[in-house]
Amino acid sequence: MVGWEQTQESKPWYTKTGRLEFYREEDEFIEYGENLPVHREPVDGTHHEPNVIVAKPHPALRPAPPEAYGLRPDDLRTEVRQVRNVIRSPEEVARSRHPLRKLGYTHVLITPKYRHACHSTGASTDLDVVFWGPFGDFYRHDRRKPWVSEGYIDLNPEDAKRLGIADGDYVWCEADPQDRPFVGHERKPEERRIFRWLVRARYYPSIMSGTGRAWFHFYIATHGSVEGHEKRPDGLAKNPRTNYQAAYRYGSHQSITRAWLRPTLQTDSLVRKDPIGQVLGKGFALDVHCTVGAPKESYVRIRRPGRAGGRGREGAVDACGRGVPAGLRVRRPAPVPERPVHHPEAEVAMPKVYNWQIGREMDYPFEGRRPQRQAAAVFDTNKCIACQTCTMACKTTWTSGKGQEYMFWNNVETKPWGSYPLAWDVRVLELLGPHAWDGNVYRGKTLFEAAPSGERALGYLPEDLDYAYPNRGEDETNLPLTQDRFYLRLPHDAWFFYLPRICNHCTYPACLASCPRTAIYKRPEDGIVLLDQQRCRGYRECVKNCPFKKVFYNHTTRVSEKCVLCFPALERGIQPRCMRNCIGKIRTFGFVSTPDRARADNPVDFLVHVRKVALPLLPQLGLEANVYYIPPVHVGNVRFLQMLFGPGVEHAVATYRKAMEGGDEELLGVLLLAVSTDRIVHRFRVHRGHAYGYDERGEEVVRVPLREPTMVRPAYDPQHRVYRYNVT
Amino acid sequence: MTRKLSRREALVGLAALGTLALPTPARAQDVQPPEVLAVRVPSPLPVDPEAEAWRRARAAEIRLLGQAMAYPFKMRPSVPSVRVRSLHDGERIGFLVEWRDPRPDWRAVKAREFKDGCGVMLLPRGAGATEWMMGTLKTPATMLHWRADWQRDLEAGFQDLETAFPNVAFDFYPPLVGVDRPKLPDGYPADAREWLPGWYAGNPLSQPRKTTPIEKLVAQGAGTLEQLPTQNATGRGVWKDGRWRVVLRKPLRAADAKEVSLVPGGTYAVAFAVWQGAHEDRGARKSITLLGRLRLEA
Repeated sequence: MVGWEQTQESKPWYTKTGRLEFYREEDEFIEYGENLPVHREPVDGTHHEPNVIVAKPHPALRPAPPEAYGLRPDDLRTEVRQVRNVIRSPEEVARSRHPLRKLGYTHVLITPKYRHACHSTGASTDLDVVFWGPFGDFYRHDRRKPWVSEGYIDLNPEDAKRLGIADGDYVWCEADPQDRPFVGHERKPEERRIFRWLVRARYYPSIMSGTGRAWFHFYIATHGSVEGHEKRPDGLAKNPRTNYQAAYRYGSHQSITRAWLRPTLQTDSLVRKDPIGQVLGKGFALDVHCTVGAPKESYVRIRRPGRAGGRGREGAVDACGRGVPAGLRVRRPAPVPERPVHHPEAEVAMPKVYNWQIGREMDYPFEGRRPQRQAAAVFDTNKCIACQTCTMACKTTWTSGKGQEYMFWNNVETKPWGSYPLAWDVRVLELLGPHAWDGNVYRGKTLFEAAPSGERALGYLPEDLDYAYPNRGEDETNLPLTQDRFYLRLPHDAWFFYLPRICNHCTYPACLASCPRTAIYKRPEDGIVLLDQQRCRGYRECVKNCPFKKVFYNHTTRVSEKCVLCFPALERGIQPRCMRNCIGKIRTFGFVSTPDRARADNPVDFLVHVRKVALPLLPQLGLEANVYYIPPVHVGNVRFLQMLFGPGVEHAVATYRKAMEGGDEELLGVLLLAVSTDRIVHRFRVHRGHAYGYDERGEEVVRVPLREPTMVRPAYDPQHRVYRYNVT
Repeated sequence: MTRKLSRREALVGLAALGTLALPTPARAQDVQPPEVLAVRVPSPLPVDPEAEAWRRARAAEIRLLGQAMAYPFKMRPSVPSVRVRSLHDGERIGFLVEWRDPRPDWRAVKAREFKDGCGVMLLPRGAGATEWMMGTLKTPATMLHWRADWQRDLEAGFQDLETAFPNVAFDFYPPLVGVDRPKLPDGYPADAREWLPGWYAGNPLSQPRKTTPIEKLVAQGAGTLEQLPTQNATGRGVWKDGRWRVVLRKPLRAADAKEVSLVPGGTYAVAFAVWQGAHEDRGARKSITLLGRLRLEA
């Protein structure tokens, strides 16, 4: 922890006096007006006069004005702006305007880092980048796309509309023309063509007006990548000689940003700590005292290329001569077909099975028979960060083959606006229509009971384009964030949450019921639902009827596939890939019992049946799905949650809240056992400040403390005779 | 856990057929079972649908019905009728099946693409309504199933996903590092096929190399369809001017235990089926004829 030794052990700070200093006495700092803690407006990324010192007059503040450098006071050119030491009061700053405003510049564009990558790792592989934002598509139905995904700018939707920009439009984004995209670009049109930034605009409800955001990781356009983009029939922005793959058609975020050479970051006289070691030094030190590298921000203008004409952009050609493919402009799911007609005389009596999630018997085409034990999981949505590690783990294990590109047996979507495939939940609920619960008993129709004549279940077959853009809606709030939203109140009025999904290995699978050949079966030993690769004939009745859309057709082998719950690992007592790799440790994996057989020392039973904090997904569909969810406690729309998770939401939220406030050690312990080991935990115990997990044989496999122990490490290690240091 | 329809249910289904499965409100007696005569001709039997020899056969125009006996049902046929001719040369029997189809569907690559197809079902003489439902345990049905997607694979090379998705991009397909768009099957050594599970498991639909556009299948009831061990059926389909014309041939003598064997002069039960890809036909979603009679000229 920074300053631990100083505040706890009274060691000196890394200054000349050894104390925290809130002033600087060096000449340079006085000259530049930063001898007192002052705010300076950004050198470029502000709506107001750039780089001014924002302060009321003060006798200690006496910087050298522009005239001292031979500059006019109103000289706001880019180069000299960095050394302009002009003092303005806060009121004066608020009234002032960035000089580029009169040229139609409107936005501060920031280029921060994203959770999907560290620097460019993760933006450099196809599997990761496809999940990055809402534009991922392995099949590149839109040939304009430079790669399987691309960089984009998040814009406030109202701002975008005022600028005449539709969601998904390609736009030119330009910063100060004096030096960007590069110095001298006016004289070199051929180079400028490569580096002028053409980027996808994306409507983002929770970004404030006047600010845009573009992630800084993506591989930039180069001469070679542009050549590929323009010459290849498939339009891939790939250098023909080196195979370098860009994620932009033209330019990049680096076309609009630059480093600023602030004098006070470049002094030789400043005394400071070295980056490594307990050493005092002066002047330049990487990441301690030097000019800023990344991320960066700029003031930009955003414009649509050319004129599209007309309402839609279909048929329009963008500035690079490429047309907008028909049918891709505005994509809505196909309208729900007319409610199917029932022909009672054609129906056949079906067996009745008991579904505890809906509290009653229901129709199912096969005799009810439960497996010896049922593999199941609990996902805590309150801890999911949508890092997509689970997605990557599953995909690299199982679906990296030809024909499997679009398959995500595991996916994480943002609710309310995300879905993969497009609107899967909205469509199945619209097909089913509204129905009522009577307490814990569902009185409406299940998908089997609502099946049209001649069908096993109610369902629909997605178009291939529905599977594109798997991370559409990522991080989009239900409402735009405006000044008058009380989003800082709990639960939130403006919210979103993440819904990680896999095949639910249902007790009454719709896929299994739909296969005319029984090519799908449920293993009697553990309830895993599998699709026989040898027996399938590619009819896709399963794809049509699985409401969760977790059976997928393989384009190359022409038969269908689905999640196998990593059964080879399960058979050896190891958790599936998606569970054991979860960074947020949200997934509890084990075996669930029916309510009458629930064991209080079984982690999944405890969460589902004892505390009832883990709820089924869309129980009204009638499949008795076996992946359970702890609902997001901060989401203000309880009815939305009830639609997804059934009538137990309010109790689950209250129970979870109580545990988070310290009122339920046992629940806390179970949740802390999640992903604490790669072994399957069959039994648990919370005892004297620890949670213990046991395998099938009763052997302890993991022990987790309920409170993170505090570790104190002395600064000097006598055994190795070195100083320990903070890496800061 | 398979559960076949009981006899009562089958009869209910058949009754439903009568009221539901006709393209227009027609009377039951309008739909006749096929009556097919396989005319004897000298060898070789033509494989080309446009060969002269087919003129020697008598064409039979047979009405098609929907399928409402096994789930999932198809309430109305996609096509009103098929025209069938048959020849044999003492060694093989051939069927020329024709039907109207405004759009040929020879690709089943996308998730919502289905291929055109047609089929001939052969059963022993005396087979009735129960056997008509894809055979029974006691009486297996032999099927010849022509597939437009296999036809295309044969004529134009294996139709991989690039035919439907020309702009696909993927870093690499393990374990073929550094290979851009590996081609099936030659670009895939044996150790790479694990990543194509259907192929690896030996599913005939997933084998990229085709030798014939016709599958020879056996079934002993709905949902039990399997390929016969000996795949010696041949044929060819041609789409022209809004019509498919498809030849399906097989040797008279059965190569496998459950296959129907034919002899000149013999009488058998026969039915035909058509799948229209544009209507998302596949499996049980098919247009079928009633079970009729096939007679081979001596």
